[in-house]
Amino acid sequence: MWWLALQASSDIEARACAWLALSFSPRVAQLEEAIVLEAGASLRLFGGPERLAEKLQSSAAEVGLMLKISPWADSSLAALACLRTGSLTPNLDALPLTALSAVAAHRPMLERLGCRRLSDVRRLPRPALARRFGPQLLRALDQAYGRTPEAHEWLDLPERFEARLELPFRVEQAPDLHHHAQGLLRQLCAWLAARHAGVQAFTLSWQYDAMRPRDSAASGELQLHTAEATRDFAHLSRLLGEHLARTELAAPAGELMLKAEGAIARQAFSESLLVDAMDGKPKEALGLLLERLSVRLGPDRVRGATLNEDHRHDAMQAWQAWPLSQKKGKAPTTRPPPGPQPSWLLDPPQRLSTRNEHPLHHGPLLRITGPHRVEGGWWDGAGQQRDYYLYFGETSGLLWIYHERLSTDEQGWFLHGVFA
Amino acid sequence: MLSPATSSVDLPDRPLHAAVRHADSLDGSRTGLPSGFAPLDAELPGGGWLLGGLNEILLERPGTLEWRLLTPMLSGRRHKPVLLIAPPHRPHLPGLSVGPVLLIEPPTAQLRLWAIEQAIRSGDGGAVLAWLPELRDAKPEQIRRLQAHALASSVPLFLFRPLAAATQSSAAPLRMQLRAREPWQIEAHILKRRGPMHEGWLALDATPAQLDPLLTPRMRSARLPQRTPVPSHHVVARAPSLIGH
Repeated sequence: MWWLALQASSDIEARACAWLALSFSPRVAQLEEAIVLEAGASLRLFGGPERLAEKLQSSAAEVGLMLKISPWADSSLAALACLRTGSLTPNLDALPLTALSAVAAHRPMLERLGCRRLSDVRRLPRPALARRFGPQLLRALDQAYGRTPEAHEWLDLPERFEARLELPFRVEQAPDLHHHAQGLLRQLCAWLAARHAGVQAFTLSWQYDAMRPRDSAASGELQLHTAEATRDFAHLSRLLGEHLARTELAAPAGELMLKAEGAIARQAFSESLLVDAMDGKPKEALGLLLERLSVRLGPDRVRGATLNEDHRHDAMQAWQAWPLSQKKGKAPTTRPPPGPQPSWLLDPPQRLSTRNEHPLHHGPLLRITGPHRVEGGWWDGAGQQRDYYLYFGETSGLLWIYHERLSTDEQGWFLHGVFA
Repeated sequence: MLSPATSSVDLPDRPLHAAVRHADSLDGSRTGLPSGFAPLDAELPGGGWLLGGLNEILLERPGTLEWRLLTPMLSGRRHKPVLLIAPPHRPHLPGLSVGPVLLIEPPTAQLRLWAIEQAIRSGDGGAVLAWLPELRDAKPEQIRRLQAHALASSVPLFLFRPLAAATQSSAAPLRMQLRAREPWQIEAHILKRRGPMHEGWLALDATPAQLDPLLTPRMRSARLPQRTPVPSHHVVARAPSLIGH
């Protein structure tokens, strides 16, 4: 039997701790103040007892939990005893009487009998011990030493995630909720780790205090979406922080609730085998960065483009807020458009002043080639008939300038692009 | 890189520490990212663009020469998106032969610096290109802050700043000024590098790939009339403008 006892720093985190342990073994139980875990069947999978303990510790750190972990012991009571006394080796004989609750209950009497350590208690005659202190003490001792089997009620993982937290005081500013919501997020991440899944959408809601203005609602909520399924605590926490910074509470909040809508199964985030040319993995994946940028800057400030087949320069690409909506089926491949294409496009085109019928842009320009006629768009009412010329200016570079053809109201020269 | 013949000081024969170099030799302790221009690579420490630091490019006017300078490098890194932060114009994808492009347009100057810093710190993506077109957009200490974050990055980072910034100090380890006196060439002058002073201008042949098939030999020799008082300049300058009439 391979037992570990774990203890989180607070009661709220004990739940997260149990869920985290469930990702290593199905045999997880609550024993008094600690979570105990029997991992005999999963040792080989995780590469031995030391590796398993290390992995447990590191996955707890990922979720943001501070865990106290006991050394490996033969029984759950022994593991708990080591955790309580901070002993580094599972040598029960040397532990004080307080290590086992059943023994600690009779501590004054046992001390008067001259017992200081568990070994002293074991040396007492068994029948007399049972008569004097009742059967519980002997059973606990035998279970701790592995003589009698233990019975546990194994914990299991809920199907849906919902966590609730009564705030210690009324919170008036939304950003202050972030600190309290982190405990809930940790639980969420631990739950996801145990399910080997990631989350794409979750809802943080809060109940307003009973003493609120009459016109305000009873609760408020914030829905968060991530582009990719994740259980990265740091990312979720930053994302929540960005959103909360932009939220206003209608009244002081008294209770928080976190709900996850559906977890997405594991294969979605296998780690990349490709190592970047220089030094390994990036610190933050691009998707997460863009998500944070679009929360802070506004959704239409982070954009990507899709290409369209068209002859008109300004209709060749469509810029959309990131992430681009994926169309069903295969993405259409666009043929490269005919004629030269500049690398920058001015939107809208800039009208140029002229001298002797020649355009000017920060000084005189030299015409290199042209005209390249672009005609099209009669089908959607934005028809164009333009003659494009390539000009060169010393401070402006290679310019793509057009002259409207056959148009009476839009006479003149326009700068439309730069071959930068 | 150590050549005792060129140095006036006698140095021990044993190799020096990798970070120690002659004042008149380029820093070869780390490899750069080839820029695609052989004359430029020869002048850049590490034989290319700096990785793990800012590449600061000074331009008289933003949005004139960037892609011609960077396309040879970027076209080799197509597998990851290029981040453009506050570009002067909208990129025209059909005219660019680079990987996917993401446009980030922060509404204020302060948010622009924030976005640049976040992009540098993330360390993902094919390249980060950021524009700070006004001198007041970034103070030297803000550039220093960006450079401090860039030290840990393995992504090429380019800051495009105005020519006026040349008089200010900057923490970027590589600073370069660009200009175009002729249509098909860009000229580069390295203001600061890990190596000796760079004098004069490097002429880089940078014809936009989109225009290459169109150009006739006569167009390739087109010059602006005022700048090059060659006796035959009337013929050369007028000839291209006849096309199209």
